[in-house]
Amino acid sequence: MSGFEDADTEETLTCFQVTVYHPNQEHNQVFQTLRFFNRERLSSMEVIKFGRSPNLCHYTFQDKQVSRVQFSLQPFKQFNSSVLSFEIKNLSKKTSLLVGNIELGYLNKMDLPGRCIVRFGEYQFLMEKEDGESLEYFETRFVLAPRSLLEERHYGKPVPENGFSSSTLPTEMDENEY
Amino acid sequence: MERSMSVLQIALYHPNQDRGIFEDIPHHLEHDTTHLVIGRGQNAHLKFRLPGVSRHHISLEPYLEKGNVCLTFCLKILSRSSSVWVNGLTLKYLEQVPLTAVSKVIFSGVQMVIRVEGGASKEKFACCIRFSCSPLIYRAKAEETDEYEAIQEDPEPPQETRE
Repeated sequence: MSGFEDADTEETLTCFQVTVYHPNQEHNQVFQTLRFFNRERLSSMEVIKFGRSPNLCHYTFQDKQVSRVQFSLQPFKQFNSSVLSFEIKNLSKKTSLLVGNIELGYLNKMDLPGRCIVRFGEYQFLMEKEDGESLEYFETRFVLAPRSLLEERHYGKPVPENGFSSSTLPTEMDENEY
Repeated sequence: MERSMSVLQIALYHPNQDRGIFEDIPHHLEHDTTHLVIGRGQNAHLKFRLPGVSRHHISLEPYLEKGNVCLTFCLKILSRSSSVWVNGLTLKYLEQVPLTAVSKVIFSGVQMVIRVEGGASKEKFACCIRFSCSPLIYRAKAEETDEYEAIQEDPEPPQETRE
């Protein structure tokens, strides 16, 4: 009991949820190394790399069309903010990364909005951040989308045409749709 | 033909630098486009033998701004316990700023001035490091002292006098 009583107060973790889609995901198993619905705790000091190489990347895609390191995510803290933000950086020399409608070339980076669609090649990712208290750690969670993220409005919230969405901004939606 | 590298000209000063605190720091270093880590830890790229420096204290991240051909650098604080002064701003854990053409940085008594010289290479960059015998940043020290003194000289008024 004393361990429980003396333990540090638990802090909630920022959850970075990534919903993934690839048109050939069922046949080619490009996402077979991702553990869907599993929450993984990561240090905020880490740079999380996505790509083909298991030696270089934390999350890998089984596809020779993917660069060894395709892109990275890294947490940081905005001034006067108490929660983590994330940056995304394109690490592929061959393929552009689309964040919403913004195209990132090699080594370009930008702040990720709270909710947005990221694309490269035929890959689609809906990236959503749910704020937590901890600055030391955050967690990731992957979900497999059954259909293209671009075809439909899904998961309860619309993603605007520019690919960005933020809870801090007014969301354009037709109330009658739901 | 190999493209010219961006170069970070780094000048360092610490009042106790004759005690070997810069001993592990090379004069020249080439690095790829991953983060360059400054700290006390074994795997830091610029290693300081100073107990007040965290194992990973600061990172310098090269990146490309859209439309630019030369690398830009982002300085990020990795120390949970101490802040870093950069060009007049006091930065804390996980806060970051882009380096300007000349950036003045103070952490754990270390004074560091970084001059960025642009190059066309997108593969790697170089650091040229020199050790200064005299202080590099005068103004920042004065500002820090003033701030401290201001706090000391202007204490909270006693509770009973507030009315």
